[in-house]
Amino acid sequence: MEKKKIYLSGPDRLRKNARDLFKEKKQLCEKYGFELLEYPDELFDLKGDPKDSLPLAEKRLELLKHCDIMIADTRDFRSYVEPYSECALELGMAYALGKKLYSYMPDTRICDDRYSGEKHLNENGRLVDKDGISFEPGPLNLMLEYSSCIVEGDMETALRKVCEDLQKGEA
Amino acid sequence: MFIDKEGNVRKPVVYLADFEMFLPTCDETVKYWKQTCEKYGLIGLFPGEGDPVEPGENFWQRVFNHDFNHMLHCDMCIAQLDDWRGHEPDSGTLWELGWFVAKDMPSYGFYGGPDTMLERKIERIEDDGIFYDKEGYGIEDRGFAFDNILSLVKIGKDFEEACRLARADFDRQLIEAGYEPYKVSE
Repeated sequence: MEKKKIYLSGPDRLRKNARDLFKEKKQLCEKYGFELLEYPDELFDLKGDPKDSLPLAEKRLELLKHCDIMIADTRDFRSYVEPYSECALELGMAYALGKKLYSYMPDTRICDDRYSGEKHLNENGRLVDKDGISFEPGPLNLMLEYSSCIVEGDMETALRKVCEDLQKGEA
Repeated sequence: MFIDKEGNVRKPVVYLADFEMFLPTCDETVKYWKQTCEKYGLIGLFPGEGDPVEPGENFWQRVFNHDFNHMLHCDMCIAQLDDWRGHEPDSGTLWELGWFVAKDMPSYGFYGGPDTMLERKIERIEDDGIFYDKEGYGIEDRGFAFDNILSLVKIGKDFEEACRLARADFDRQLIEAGYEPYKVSE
């Protein structure tokens, strides 16, 4: 039987050892019987000519079209309760393409519980942050939350959940 | 005016993907967006429009359904890409924008911040000519303000510029098909 193809989205590709981390995740996918689709190599380079940006983004969209399942690392990124922008955009893209979506996070408490800064109740009785902005009701924005299956843990936790859902005929 | 998938010439309905609903200035901003849309021959649809979602069981699932249903009725998207709770755009806005991109529907954004990721005020350390944030994630240097995947979207400096970009694309399409371009009202 052909292996199900996984597209991975997440900030680890920005790490100094990104290629090694990707290799580890590829092996992990193989261990669970999946094929992790490989990014165009230039995506690991953190520098690039602006004129190459659109062709690279188009290659990524093509790759996404070829997956069966998308897994996103939706940990908080350069923000107190927001994931990496790539993950959010690609989850929306994958949903439009009819893919099965999974997200993993080290902490799936709802946003206001995860937020460690100053918060207070506003005049309408809503909990808001220091800028007066209310929180999302779940661990992620509701568009992400209600389109993907969110697990607490790492890539391996997400893969186990995919296997479990496949056995139940749900993935 | 634009030519829809059935070949009809009509005003496109724009999904206004944004984070305004969290802000006290929401009504005023949305009113300006809708007026600006009108000026450029577009019909702005704000996700909060329509019948309100009644409180009760599965409330947030029903909010998702409500907003998604609005998306299904739109021809294109204009997304607010300014920073939200940090150095990234709002994730819900991006999710919605990504949906339109993958559906190959006209997709635009607007953003008033620095032109490149490197110019963003992200705390950083340099390592071998590459900048990393304090968590060890690289700050991409591709002459672009966002993650590379957002290159799939045309981005203006403000809402009106995004409308102008859309108008220019639609006018090109109209002229190619032998129609007059839309006359923008001043």
